[in-house]
Amino acid sequence: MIEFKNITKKYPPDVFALRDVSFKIAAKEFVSIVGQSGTGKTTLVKLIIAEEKPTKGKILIGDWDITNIKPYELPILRRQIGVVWQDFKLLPKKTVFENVSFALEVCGETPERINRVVPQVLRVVGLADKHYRFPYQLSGGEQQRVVIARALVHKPKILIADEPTGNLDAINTQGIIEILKKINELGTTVILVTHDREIVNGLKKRVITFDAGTVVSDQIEGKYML
Amino acid sequence: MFLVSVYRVIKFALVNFWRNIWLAIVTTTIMSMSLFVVMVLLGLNLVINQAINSLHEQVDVSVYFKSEITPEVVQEFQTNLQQIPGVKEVVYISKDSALDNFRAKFADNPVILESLDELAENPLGDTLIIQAQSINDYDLVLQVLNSEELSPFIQEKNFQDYNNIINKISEISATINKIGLFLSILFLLIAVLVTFNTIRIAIYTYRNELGIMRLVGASKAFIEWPFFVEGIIYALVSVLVTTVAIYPIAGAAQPFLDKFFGSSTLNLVNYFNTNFFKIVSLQLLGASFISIFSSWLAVRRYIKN
Repeated sequence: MIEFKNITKKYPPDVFALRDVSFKIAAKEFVSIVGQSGTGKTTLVKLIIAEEKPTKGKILIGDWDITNIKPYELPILRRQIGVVWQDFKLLPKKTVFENVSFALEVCGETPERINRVVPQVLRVVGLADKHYRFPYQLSGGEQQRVVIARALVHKPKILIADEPTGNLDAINTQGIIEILKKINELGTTVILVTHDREIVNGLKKRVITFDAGTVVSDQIEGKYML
Repeated sequence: MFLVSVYRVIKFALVNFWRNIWLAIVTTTIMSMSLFVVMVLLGLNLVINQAINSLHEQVDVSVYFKSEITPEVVQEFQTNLQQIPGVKEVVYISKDSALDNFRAKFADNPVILESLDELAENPLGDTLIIQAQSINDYDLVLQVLNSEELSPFIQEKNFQDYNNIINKISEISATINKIGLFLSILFLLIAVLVTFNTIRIAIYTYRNELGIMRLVGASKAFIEWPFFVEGIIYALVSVLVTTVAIYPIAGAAQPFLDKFFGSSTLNLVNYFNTNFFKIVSLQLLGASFISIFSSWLAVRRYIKN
């Protein structure tokens, strides 16, 4: 479970990205966070992965208060949260397999485990036959699947996708959303940050709507309202 | 798992080194130059100290007693002179030994030898050779020798005064030390700045990898250690370069040092051979400290959590 309790995030000198935001996301839930650009959606993602600290309020992940998380606890938190970004953040000189295995290598996993886990996650995202391709040899949708695979290698409890379809066409967008739904069905909490009306309306899942750094609506089976 | 991480940290560090090879060359060159300046300073200090010590050893006072003074009296003076604080040793040379030495010295000069044979008695007296602990102790020795009690027995005394030469060399040594120290500090500062910048650029080159590492939960140590190891690689290469360079240079400098300080000058190549592990370890320690410190500054400044 993720809980935001009266979270305010202020950037100097006096720019409020979030103002007194409170909500709860249950385990295994699929939630869309929607809102126009500059409404604090990405700040919210950064707060969940503790890349930023809130100015006020408290953030709980399960029973863990990560508001003032210690630097040595960050890796533990981040291995439980997979993140997918709009700009992919793939390493261009590494193959698909290497890009995914990199996430395990840097966490000290053994080669045996890497060779077992990476093919599994690449199969989940439909890239079982593209292990040795480089990112530039893949379509946008395929690159985003590599990113999802990388986010999944630690078997995270939470997957956050921040505008994952922002750079994709309609067909690839649908493919990515299907993968996210599948991952959610396998028991992972999915937080989808988007401003794509069609995706949100098609999902028929919970929608939290942001405007000017505040929650303006939270619907169990919501629609894109703005 | 720990060993796997250690292996990967070293691998990343080597890749970093190779990716910025030109910067790595500049960094190791500067660091080698710093070490080289320190080594030259050390070498010069050793040579100068050896020269000064050798001059100190050569200083003595020879006291020639009048020929009528009996050996017993001279030996009594020997015992008394040995009591003076700062006196290292007083050697007694009998008049017969002195004559033998004299004959040996002028063996190829028949005129002098014939003149000696003409004399019925040994014209030489007993001699005492006094050596003090340090150059400053001779003042007291000369004071005693010039005293009213002793001077009537003495024919002549000869004090080889190397004091001026020693002072001159000490002055040169102090000046070299000051310049050397200044150059060493200057080069060390440059080495710190260059290494800092190299690591900073390495961090910049690796910014994408580092960003991903943070996101996927790599530990702080795993993110930072490749840069420290990279610093250690710079230190290792610099020590290697300095050690390889110092031998031919020391060999080439030796004839000039011998010419300047005399043939008893310390042989630098032999000294380096004898103290090889000590010198290399100290260099490695110093160079590693500089590079790890610089890397730490860069990592602290440019890698965020």
